[in-house]
Amino acid sequence: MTTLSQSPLLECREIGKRFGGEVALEGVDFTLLPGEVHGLVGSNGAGKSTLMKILAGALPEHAGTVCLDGRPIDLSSPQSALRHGIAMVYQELSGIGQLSVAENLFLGRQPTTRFGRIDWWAMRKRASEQLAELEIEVDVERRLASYPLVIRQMVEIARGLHSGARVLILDEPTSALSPPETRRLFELIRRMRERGVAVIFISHFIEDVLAICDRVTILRGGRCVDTRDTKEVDKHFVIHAMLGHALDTREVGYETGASLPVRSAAPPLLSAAGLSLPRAFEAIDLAVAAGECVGIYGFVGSGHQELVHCLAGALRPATGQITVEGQSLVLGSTHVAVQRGVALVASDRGQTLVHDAEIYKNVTLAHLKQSVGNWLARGRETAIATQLLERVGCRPVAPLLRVRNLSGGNQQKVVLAKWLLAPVRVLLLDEPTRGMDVGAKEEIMKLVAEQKRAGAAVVLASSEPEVVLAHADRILVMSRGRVTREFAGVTVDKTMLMRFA
Amino acid sequence: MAVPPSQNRSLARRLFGRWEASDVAPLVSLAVLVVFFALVAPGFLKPATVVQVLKQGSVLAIVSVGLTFVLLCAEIDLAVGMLALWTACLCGFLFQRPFAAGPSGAGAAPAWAVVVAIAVPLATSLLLGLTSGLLTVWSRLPSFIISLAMMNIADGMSRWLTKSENLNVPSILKTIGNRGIEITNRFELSYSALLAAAVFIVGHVVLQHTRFGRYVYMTGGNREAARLAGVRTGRIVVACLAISAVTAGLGGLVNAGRLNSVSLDQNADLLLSAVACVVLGGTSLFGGSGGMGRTAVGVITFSVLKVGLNQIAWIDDLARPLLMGLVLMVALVVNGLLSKNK
Repeated sequence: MTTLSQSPLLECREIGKRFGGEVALEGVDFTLLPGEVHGLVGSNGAGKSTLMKILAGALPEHAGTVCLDGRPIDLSSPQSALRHGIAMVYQELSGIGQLSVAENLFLGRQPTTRFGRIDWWAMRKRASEQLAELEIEVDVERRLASYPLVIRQMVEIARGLHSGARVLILDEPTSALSPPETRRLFELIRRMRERGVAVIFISHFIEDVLAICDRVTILRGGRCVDTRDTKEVDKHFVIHAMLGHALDTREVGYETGASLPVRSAAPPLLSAAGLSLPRAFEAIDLAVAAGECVGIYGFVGSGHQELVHCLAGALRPATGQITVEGQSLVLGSTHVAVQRGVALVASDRGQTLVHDAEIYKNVTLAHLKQSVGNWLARGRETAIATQLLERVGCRPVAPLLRVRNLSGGNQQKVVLAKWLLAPVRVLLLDEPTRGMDVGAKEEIMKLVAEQKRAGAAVVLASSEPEVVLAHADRILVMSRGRVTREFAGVTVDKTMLMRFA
Repeated sequence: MAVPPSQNRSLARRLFGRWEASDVAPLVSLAVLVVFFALVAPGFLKPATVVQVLKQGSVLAIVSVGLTFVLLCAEIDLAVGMLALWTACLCGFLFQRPFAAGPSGAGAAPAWAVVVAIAVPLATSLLLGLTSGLLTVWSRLPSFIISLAMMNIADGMSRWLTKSENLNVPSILKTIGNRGIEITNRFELSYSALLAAAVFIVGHVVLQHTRFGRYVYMTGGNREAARLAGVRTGRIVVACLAISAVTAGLGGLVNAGRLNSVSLDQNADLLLSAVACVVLGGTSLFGGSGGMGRTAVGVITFSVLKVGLNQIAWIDDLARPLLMGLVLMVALVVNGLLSKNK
């Protein structure tokens, strides 16, 4: 079905893109045949999303040319991409939940009557017809928000198709879907293929890519490594191609593997039993001893981040129990968790810091009573904050400065400083170093290691295998809301982690 | 990114703290208004004007203190005007019951009866504020909606209770509203202004020097961050709405005293005036930044504007509200723009 003799529908030649000094893409060639489902894989930062943003017209300034039907096209805006028939379905859906399915399907191009009014009757009829044609069974008059994610995605895809798309880009479409939902989505993708629509399928889930795609292109470090027929390759091959073997990464040593110590026999300080949160994870059991760091690895959307937030009381799990030092926590209460010495460091500082407030106010917020007492005096507070800022190495040590003026790494140090005002029993980390430079990463993780040595139970959730390999004593791999594998007392490497994700 | 090194702060900085454009803008507006009225209205720069500003501003000031708490934690209380009315109405109603007025209706009220006639209405206002707060937090609806409903409830209760009658109020309220300490024969410091000052000082201390005050700021600045740090943000919101209800009630009592009785036409514009005062001072409608000092400046600016416009004799009486609105709009926009260009 996909022979090279076919003339390509879409052809990218020598695509390059830089952000500041960073190379995001360099000399990428990519061809898409008509009626083909083409997988695009690569680890974080390989350039998948940059390439797709260029195709969707969101990054007009780039090197190289994009041709459609052999003619170069202009992709200076999302509108021009749509005009050429390139439609993108984002991971965060753009449909409007408050509107009906039919209204979403015809968003921006509603059929009108002679007098310019929206022709509701025609819109509903055509919406039902179009969806029935694709075997999507929904009531077009119901609000889109009342349907599960998979239906919303399918409506979005149908919208792309009926607005004349010849190239559909799906960004991580299966990451939040259950297996039966994924199968439904795949059926729709196959029907699109039969209609001659070309689909670019971006995913971290290699099995999904191999199951639905005809060909797969592997990106690594902004370059195109390989394009293969999916029949010729297996998951192992793809993972190896994604990671490469002679990587010049700075976290050397973890490419070949990390040897984990034998699991400690100490009684657990933090334990969780039967935790479930709908649409995130199910039936998770976890036990972490004092002085132990458990890494939880999974792709974005596999539930590990939500799990950490549940442990901190930031999210309320539907079922389950969490105990710290033998006493159970009130689910969904950050207040109780903080009183028991549970500290959360999230990737998003917008969630953990008051950006418009002074640094010292952020530092003392969690333990105001213990550190400052009942009467707040600025002098005493800034003195306490200064001491802590020096301890965590925040630069500059200026407690009166507003948090928004700090760099990301220094903001994260303020978050850590906040917790150091009282003994930390459980330290929960959710992608604590995302988006930071190597130096800041190291400093943050050094502070974490200090707390671990002091006897804290540490949980480190990350979608970057390097991070868990470098810092965890024991590693759990999560996939689609379940723990698929636990590694302890063995030597593991990235490939092994990714195989179970 | 200017970094103030803490070791070589100048003396001025140590005395006044760090000043930003948003701190100065409201003061500049106030100064411009004062200079303008001094030039246009010949009698403006006299002690009598100050007396009037303090007297007119005190009700607004008391109500604004509570409202500042609510705005700082990124909520709004639309019920303040009607809660003020309800409190005053209930006070008047109780004061005319036989236990206070005596069987004939004309006796001197015993002290305990006056206390009851003042404390019970304030307690009901507190209760209504707590209700708004609890419903806001529990329903997760905006306080805008809940307090809008509470405004109608308080208004309706006042109408039902008073049957549109004018009611007498205890003489102590009249004294607070109309008398004062004579400092010179031309300058009298009204009791209502003293009461307002006391409420302001308490408000300032609570905001700046208690944990509760800090939690109010942080809850308004970033509710999620405050919650993740273990702050029970729901309780903070409830408390702010309760405080606002009590100060509104107190303001209503003082206003009834100033006007010597309570009637349904009082406090109709109190809500919008108080919001204007707080925002004029530079407290954000979106929470997290501002304070009592700013609200004080806002209240004084608003009162100066009102008193000043009344002193310009050649303005048509019917045009005064229009001018008031126009000047207010200009001042709000200018303050808003100045505080954005930090």
